[in-house]
Amino acid sequence: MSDKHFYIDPSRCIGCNACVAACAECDTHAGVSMIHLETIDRGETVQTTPVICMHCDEPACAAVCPADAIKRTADGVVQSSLKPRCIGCTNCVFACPFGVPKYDAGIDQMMKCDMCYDRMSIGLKPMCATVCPSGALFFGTPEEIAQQRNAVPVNEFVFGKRTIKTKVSLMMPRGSTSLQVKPDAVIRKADLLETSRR
Amino acid sequence: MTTRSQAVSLSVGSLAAILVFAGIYFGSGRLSRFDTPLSAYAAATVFAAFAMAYRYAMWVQRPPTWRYFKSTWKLFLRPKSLVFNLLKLAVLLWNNIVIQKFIEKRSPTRWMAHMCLAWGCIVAFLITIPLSWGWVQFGMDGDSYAVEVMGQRQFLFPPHSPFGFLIFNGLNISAVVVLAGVGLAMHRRLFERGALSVQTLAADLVPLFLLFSVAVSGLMLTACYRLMGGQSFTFLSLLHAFTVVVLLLYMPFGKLFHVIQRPAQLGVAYYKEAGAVGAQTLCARSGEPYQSKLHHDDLRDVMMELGFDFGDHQNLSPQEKRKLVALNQAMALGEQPYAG
Repeated sequence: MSDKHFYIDPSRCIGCNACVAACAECDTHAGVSMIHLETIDRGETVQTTPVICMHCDEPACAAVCPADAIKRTADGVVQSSLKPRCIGCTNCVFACPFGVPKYDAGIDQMMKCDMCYDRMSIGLKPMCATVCPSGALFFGTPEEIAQQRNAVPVNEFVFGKRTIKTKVSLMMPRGSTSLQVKPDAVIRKADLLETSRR
Repeated sequence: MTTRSQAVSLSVGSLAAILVFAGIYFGSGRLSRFDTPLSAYAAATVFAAFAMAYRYAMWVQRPPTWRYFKSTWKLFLRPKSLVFNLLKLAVLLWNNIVIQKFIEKRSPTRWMAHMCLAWGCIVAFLITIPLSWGWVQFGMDGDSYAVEVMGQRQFLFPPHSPFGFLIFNGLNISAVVVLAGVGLAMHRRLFERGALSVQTLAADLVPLFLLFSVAVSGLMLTACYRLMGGQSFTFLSLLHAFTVVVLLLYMPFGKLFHVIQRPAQLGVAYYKEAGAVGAQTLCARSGEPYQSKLHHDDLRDVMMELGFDFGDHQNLSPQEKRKLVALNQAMALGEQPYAG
């Protein structure tokens, strides 16, 4: 068990794709990249965001799984679906509020980010956090993140009427305690690049 | 306190056990053809039938499972597509259960291991269960062996023929096939780092140990009378019976229960097909279709039932959902370039 935690900061993402390539090197899903790298809106902003599993305390993906195939380990990591059980229904894909699970029709199975469990469970950094050059993906102790960042970690997200607590934290401006995820959030016009040029 | 779902499951489990017991009683001519040395196997199948039916009923009553179960049967039994559905079922059974195509796409070695384990076990059970229930007997008719099913003579075959060899060694052949599968699976469990990090003794290794012990103790029976002059046969037969009984008792509780769950995969194919030809849901942000309306509405209802009321967020495609944490973080940052 590790005292290290995962912190994400989409505002730091530079879209380099290093995380996408590194992810496929993990032994628990060898050769298949589980991380998503989203381009927010190519016409409006250069912003990109890495999306990893947030590892919810009460995972919606597991709750809606008809085959009871998605399990959360004692240390709070929500694993890919169990191969013998997954029936490929895609309930998890559409129930996850973060849009994380990936369904592979060829093998008829859902797979997802498991925080590189082979590494993380022995205290090593997940592959994406190992290679991220800008600190958008950071794996370390609470003390390290507090020392290195002005922002504060938040791991409470409100979707509609439901609050979801997660193992992974999002870096937010000081004073934030949770993030209300509004579906109508506008694209940030003054993006990272334009703002830094001022 | 027994909940309603437990009461239903107890009834279903008891019914399954009664049916198996009745099958043994009547199938063996009111026990006149029942082979008493095999009674431990028969008793274990009665318990396994109860436990598997109980667990299946508990599982199928979970809100998401029950919704799929109902919807799929409704779609399957639609009179106008019943013939097509039955033909499709034959194809699905062949692809997913007989040749297990989807496992081959995960890895050829894994497929080989699973095919060995699955078919070795299926053949072994097809031989063992009718024998232990007193449904099948062998007898002599002149120089030929006679096969009787429920007291009715079926056919004769010469014992010293290739067919006779296969019949007499069916369990030995299936044991060798199972051992090949166990070997391939154990290799993966011992040397593949990904598997090593997530596997557990109870969930992943115990089933392999059980299959190994059943196969080896079964082969030892043949080795005993062929090579050891029958020495310790009583002990070995008891040991083999013990391993088979433990396997049967374990089946409902561990990884091997997937054998019972797996047909649900076939049902999902009908559900997906009906969804694909029906109306589609459009993403509230992108306007693009992303999910069948059938699935969207069913899933929304299940989520509400389970206490996951995400409101309008549930009307977004996974891709748009993935953008929202970044977008909402950006909104919170305002003019700040990054979180800092």
